[in-house]
Amino acid sequence: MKISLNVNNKTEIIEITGNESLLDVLRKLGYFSAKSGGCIRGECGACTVLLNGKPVNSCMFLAVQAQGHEIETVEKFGEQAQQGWKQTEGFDPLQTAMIESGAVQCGYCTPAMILSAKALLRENPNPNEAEIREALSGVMCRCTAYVKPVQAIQRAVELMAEPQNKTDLSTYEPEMLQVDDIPDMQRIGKSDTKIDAASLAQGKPAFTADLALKDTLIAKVLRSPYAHARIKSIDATKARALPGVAAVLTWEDIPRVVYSTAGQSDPIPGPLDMFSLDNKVRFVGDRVAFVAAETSAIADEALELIDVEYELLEPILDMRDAMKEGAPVLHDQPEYVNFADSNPAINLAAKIRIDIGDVDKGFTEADQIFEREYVVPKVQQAHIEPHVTLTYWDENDRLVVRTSTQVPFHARRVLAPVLGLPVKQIRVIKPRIGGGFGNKQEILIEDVAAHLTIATGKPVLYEMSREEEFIASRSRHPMRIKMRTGVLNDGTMTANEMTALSDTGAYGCHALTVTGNTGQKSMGLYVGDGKYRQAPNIRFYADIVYTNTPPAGAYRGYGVPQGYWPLDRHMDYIANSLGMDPIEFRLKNTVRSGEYQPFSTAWNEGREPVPEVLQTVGLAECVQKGREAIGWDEKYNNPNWQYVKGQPHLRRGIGVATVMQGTAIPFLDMGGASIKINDDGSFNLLVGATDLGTGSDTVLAQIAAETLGVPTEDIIVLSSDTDTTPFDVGAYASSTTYVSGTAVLNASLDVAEQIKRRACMIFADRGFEFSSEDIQLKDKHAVAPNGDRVSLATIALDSLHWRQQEQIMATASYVSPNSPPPFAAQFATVLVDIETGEVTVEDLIMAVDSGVIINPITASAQIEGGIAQALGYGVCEEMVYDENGVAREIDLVDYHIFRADEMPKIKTIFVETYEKTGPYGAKAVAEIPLDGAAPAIGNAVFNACGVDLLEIPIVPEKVLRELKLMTEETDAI
Amino acid sequence: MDEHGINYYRPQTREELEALMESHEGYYLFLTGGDYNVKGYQEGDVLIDLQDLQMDQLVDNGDLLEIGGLSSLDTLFKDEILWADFREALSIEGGWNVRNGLSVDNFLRIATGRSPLLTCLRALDINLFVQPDIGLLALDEYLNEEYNWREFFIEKISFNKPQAVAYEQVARSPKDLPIVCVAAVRDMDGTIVVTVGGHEALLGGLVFEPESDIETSSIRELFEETDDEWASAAYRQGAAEALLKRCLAKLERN
Repeated sequence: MKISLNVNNKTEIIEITGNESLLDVLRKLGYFSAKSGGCIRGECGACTVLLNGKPVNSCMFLAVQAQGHEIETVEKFGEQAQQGWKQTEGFDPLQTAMIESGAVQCGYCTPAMILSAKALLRENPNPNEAEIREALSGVMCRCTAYVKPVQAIQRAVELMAEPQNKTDLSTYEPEMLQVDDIPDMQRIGKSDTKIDAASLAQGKPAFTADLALKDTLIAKVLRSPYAHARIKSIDATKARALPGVAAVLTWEDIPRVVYSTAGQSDPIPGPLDMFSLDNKVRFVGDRVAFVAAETSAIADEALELIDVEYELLEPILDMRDAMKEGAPVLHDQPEYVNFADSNPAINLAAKIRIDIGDVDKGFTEADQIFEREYVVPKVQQAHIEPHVTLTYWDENDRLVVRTSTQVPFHARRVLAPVLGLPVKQIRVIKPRIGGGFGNKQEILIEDVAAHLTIATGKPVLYEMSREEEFIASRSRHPMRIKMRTGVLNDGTMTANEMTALSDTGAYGCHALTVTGNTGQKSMGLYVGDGKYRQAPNIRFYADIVYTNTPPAGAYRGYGVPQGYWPLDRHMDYIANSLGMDPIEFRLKNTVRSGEYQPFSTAWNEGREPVPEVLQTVGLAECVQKGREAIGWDEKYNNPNWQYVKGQPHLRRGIGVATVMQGTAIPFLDMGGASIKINDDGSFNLLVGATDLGTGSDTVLAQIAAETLGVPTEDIIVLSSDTDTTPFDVGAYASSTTYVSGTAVLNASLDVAEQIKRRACMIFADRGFEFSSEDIQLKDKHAVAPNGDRVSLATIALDSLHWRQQEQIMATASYVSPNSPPPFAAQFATVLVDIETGEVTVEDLIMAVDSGVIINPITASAQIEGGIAQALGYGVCEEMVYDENGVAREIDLVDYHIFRADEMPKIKTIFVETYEKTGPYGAKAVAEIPLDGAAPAIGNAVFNACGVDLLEIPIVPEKVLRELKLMTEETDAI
Repeated sequence: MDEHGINYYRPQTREELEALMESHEGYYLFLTGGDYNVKGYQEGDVLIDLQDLQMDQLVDNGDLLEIGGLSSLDTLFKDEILWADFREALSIEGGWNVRNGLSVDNFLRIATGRSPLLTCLRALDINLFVQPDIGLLALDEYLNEEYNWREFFIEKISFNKPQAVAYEQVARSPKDLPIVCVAAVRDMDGTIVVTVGGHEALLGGLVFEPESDIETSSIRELFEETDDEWASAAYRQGAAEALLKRCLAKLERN
């Protein structure tokens, strides 16, 4: 049927089927700013449009219903002011504010936020913060914690009143404290605008699913309803016969190639235990068959027509049962490839045994030994853009994989044998990504679309539904962790032991490396004091086992949040038991500058350990700043603060956690960069590094700009295309700024040298003899000691066109021998309802030492968003399975992530040390915010009411149960 | 009919609607505003879109409020409905986008016992006028009947304005769906109606006559069989009693 829609004051006429949603039709018309979040109850809001001026989810209306109404999308609201000879009115104040503020991270929900704010400001031109948060309540964001979007809307109000008023960026910048001497620099330390922000604020078609190719087929996957079964038979005859179906693939149709989905360097540090399709299913949601069809509806119908006969097998659903005698074996396939100590016969995916010092002796020297078991749950990354991939043959018969991935180069390498193609015949392109948080450090769905493109010859688009994200993507490894710590009565730690049982789910991707991190980056923080500081006694043992649940994988923090819940709760437990101040106890025993990261002497992900002395440890300064900011001394154990006047059922509490993460993996993570000069003195910077909304493209551009003496906007970044950009491991291990940044620095230095030599030639023409060491690059010029200047544009023209022509360019790559950790102190205050057990988190303050901060706004945005994820980890998020392995959480209604109108107050403080091994003094910032919130909240709950929880999330029933037990114990006494 | 067999109609008058219903007797489905999962329609479905029939109005008749079935949930945020706790329950039910889009009719089709808004509406003891041919139904009657509600529509809901509304819940976060919730309404004559939620199945309620002694522990009975994957019955019982006391205190203050 033909319909007419009024979109942005334009009449759009389009032929549709009657049951297409408004979202689907708007995207067909090219309004890609309305995005799909894969949800089914409108909970994410990514598809927001204005309908008669009100923000609605366009997935909740049929397109036909929208006829006769006014529809507005963000495409209506502004564009670049200067477009060649054309001038426009420029951006809407909301877009301007979002761009300036750092509110645009991945950008997937940015159009939705802008539209919601637009609707609000039309009704209420001067809203307060609560009203702004209420307006954003229908848009879920996983990147920003809504901090900067709210600030941006407040700024937009000011801009609308006074359009010429220049923005003071300090509004958005965090508090900064310099510990070391940090030189004043041109671009480093400046909050330069994120280079993709304008594009994303306009809703440009920048994401994977925004590329529309002719004759694209839609892929769907038939998934197992059983946790553990063999496929006795599978018949796709009826499905293949359905009109509109182009291909149906089962395990019988494609080559049987074993691989790992983990996006990691070669050789993959884990077992190879996965097939694209297998004759065995190992979790509810495991793959059974692939379908490609002309429409989504036809593909769904085809799935129903595939007949599968299963032989049910007993599942393992509790990690404690995995290695028991007689347990069913998940991986009995002959093609299984072991790695290190994996042993599929006993469901062991990996094993870790690390001893540093003499732990047993350390325990004998202790005055007291504290021992407890802690539990951390499985949780989901919940990025708003689902996994999505588009594959097609290009004109040269090469397979192009356009995909939402953090690891394009690993994807290409892993896919090649699976598809029966050489690496050179595959091109992987990463467009903008709508969030990943580790879940896209996985070659998760590219093979599905690729196999179907091979089978049909046509482009294939596969986008996971939200339910599939929950049942068939990846998650954080759940673990059971025993802590055993020996201390002297003065609080000196004599021995510290962590024993972890980690559940990798049905496949072993990231099994070893995630859990290795759990010990390395948490236990490595505490060394003891006195003689123990020189020779710490630390033990970390872990077994990582298979269960018949969806596989775990990489999630921001990568095992370290799992380590800090038990470790930091344990530190508080010990401090309280000893009657010591919890901060003093920690600082007495934490590692200091000039000391070894103890694990660097014993562990390096299966490779040779590389002992590392820590040069920059700003932890004490972080603690000091954080404690001042939260008012620790006024609040801690102050009954006047803890008891809430007039509300006897409420108690306040304050807690702290001290944490450490990592910065890249030494001698493993490699990044490459190429830079070339253009005719106008600008530069193209090609990097394999992957910006998933983190702002890494911007930060890398700033590093280049600083080195070359130009504004950041003169660095044009092209990233993450395996054909055109140098290799990079991708976005994980907090490596981009440090490793890829150093590659950029080195390439820039090389180019700078070439520029200076060319400048000397030009100065010689003017009668002045200089050498390149004499020349400075500044303000787009090469400047001689006598003040004479030549512009980079002139240098470019000279080198490209006028004489001794050459392309000034350089390529560099970098592998670091170091891994200098960032440090942080996380503080939390909570309100506990002692009649119901309900916990409300009121304040979260994190003070962070991430070295020199290249871009304060993007860096603080990373901290804020990470804290919000850690908040969920602490109080509400978990993935639970019933006795048949069926997931309880399959949408973002039951799996609740915090809305704008319920966030606690979040504050970031940066404590800047100068890390000499990092580009311009930088360390990592991306993952550490995941580490501290959960234990700080747990410690705060204990402070509030004495409830000492060993398991997260901290849900009301657990709190009340403990309160009742405490009351009963007190009564008994 | 389009090539995929969807028949879409948008009548402009009641007469047109009746004529359509007659011509497609027994074989039509109603579109009543924004809905979850709009992609559920199949080839051959006859879809009658009611949006032009003025069923989205809020009418204040003094003691009685009437709200059209095609009103968005956000209509319930309007000034005529002044109770802060009711608005809070509505805010928890869905963010601004959902409230702007989801109609009262479509909300009631899918609401379960975990719904804060439904818990409040049950306490308000709303009546529904259901078409075609069903007429006036109490809310609980509607919820307990096993009609295919796609073949019917709620023309309007109505309720007597109460003196006060109180709502309390326990959840994992301030805007998460509740594990246990209590809504209490004091009618104009002083009767207090209490309903509970936070559990998938619909639970019973309590009525306290004016001036009667209120035994708050009576709420525990309502949660006796409510062990589920989210919470235990024992927890819900204890928490519900605490919440009821708070609701009653709020009613007292208003």
